[in-house]
Amino acid sequence: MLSYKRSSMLRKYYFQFFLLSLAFVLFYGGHYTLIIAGIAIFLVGMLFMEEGFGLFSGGVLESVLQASTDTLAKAIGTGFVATAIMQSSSLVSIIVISFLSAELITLSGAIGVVFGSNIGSTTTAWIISAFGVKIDIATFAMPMVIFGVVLKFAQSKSYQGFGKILLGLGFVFLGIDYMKDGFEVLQQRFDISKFAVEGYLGALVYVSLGVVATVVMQSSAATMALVITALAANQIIYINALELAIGANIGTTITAILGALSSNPNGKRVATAHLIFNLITAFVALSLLYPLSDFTNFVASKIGIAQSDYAMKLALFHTLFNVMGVLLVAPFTKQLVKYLETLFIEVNIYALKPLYLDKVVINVPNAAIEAIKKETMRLYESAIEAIAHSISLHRHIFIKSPDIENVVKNSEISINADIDEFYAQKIKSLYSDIIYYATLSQEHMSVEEQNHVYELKLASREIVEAIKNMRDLQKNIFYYARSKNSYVKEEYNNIRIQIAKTIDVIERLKEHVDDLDVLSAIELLKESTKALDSIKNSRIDALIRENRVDSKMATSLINDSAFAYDVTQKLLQAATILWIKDKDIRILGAKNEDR
Amino acid sequence: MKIDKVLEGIEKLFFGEKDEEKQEKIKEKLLKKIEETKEELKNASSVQEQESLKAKLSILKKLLERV
Repeated sequence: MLSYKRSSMLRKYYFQFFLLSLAFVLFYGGHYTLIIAGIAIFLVGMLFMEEGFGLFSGGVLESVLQASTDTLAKAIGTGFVATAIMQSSSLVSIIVISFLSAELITLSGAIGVVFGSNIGSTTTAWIISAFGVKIDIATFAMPMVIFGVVLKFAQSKSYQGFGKILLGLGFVFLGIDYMKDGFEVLQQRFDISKFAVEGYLGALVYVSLGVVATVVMQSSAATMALVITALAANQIIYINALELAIGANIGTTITAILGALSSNPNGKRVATAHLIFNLITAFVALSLLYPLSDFTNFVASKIGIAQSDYAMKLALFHTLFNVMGVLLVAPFTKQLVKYLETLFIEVNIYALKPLYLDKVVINVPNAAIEAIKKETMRLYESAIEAIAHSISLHRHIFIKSPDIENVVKNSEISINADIDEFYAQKIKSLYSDIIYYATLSQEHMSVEEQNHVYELKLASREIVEAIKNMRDLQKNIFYYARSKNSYVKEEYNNIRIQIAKTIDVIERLKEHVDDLDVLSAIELLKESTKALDSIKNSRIDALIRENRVDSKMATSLINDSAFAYDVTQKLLQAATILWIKDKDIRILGAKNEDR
Repeated sequence: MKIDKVLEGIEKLFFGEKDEEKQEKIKEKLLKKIEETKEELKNASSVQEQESLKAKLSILKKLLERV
């Protein structure tokens, strides 16, 4: 909460400062207007591209990321390819953090993707230097924008996505064109390359400028576009451009850190890994700036880049120093993971504060579903704790016990848990959080995914209703367990056994890998509960007929048997949804209720 | 848009699984599981284990009827 407040305050002042500076520059710096407009158009383009890829990929990227991060090398490769295709390292980072939050990938896998993503983000510089500053790209930009707008109105999600990508690319090209024009106008008026600074003072100035530019624009790609266009217009010297590129790399991490301030511990860990990686890379690159620049010249000459083509050489330098960073840091990933795991450990005062419902995940369907599922499982665990206590049992005493009946009969009725309070203080808030989050997440999902979330919402409702049913039951269990009437006492013990056995079976079925094993265990329990329920009903009838219990006891027993039966059925329904992965097998289980 | 319907049709034709195919797959899985359970039943050592496997077998057969 505190960190959230701190981050929103930071953002507030940062934004106000940004607006003021922008107004000042636009008002007093007429020459820079074209460049600033170019940057703004470029950023709009990047936003459209991100959105477009989000719609267009529709889960493909998520599946690829999930399947290809099990080894560090694969994770680095995946980060590289994903970022090169999406042209957005921040989108890849968001997906990675969301997957990490949902425990779909490991921390070292996520760090690997971030490493690869850093190299992948250098492809933007290649695209800009290869096309942006050489061809009159504004000619392509207009048709792209027009087709993009038309396609954006299509009904199909894929068309909309494609339209947004086209629109984004069009704006990116248009933005670069504006920047180019801006620098050309600036060059005619005065030559800022006169202010070029060499040596370590220059390094410090330009690295800082790179950092500030990236933080202000929230995009290293925009900084690189600006640097390349300025370099192509001879507004800055080559060595200063290299320093700006290093600064842009550091700047991205600050953007990520600002974003991670309100994120969960995993988000903060990934942002820290990113910062450590980029600081080490920047430090080494700065220390070896001149040798690295010579090495870039050497590689450039080998791959056919002209000696005077500084824009392409800058792109090459950007890639080379990021690859160097990965080669330097990647061998220490294990140590880095170990260190990061000691950071940001949250002490959770409120036991049922959501752990998995990360806002970052909400727009990524697979990860959102996984987060809701995990949180619902937590809700189940907490509900089971409360239910076990309301039948006066501790879970470790009866779960997986070979003789539950004896355990229950021999247990003391000593736990008088206030299930009402437990529900009001803990379960209700978590349940509301799950429902709220699940409903919001459904907005970005396909019909099938929405149905899955609907099922999960149903599971949490069943869990909550099971607890509500336990409220009345608990009072009578506690009351009649001390009764002198052995018949009623035995019947209440049978109710406790029935609930304990259900919890035990669900606990055991969690270990099954095969969905059919899970379903058969659930169905078997459903059948035996049904059979036991009818036996119990005839036994209660007999007790009433034989005057073994009085009318008050009889009504309590009849009501509570029905409550207990409902509790077991609701828990089993929730278990079917939570622990059977295959949708068709889950439906097969539900078919029984339809009959 | 008409093109959407065409694309949807193509998707269903090539990538979508028909209901019958899904049911066939579940049937196959169930039959395989029944065979496995029968095998386990043959090798079961204790009476308790035999009883629980018999119950599981009967449930699996009921599930097969539901498909």
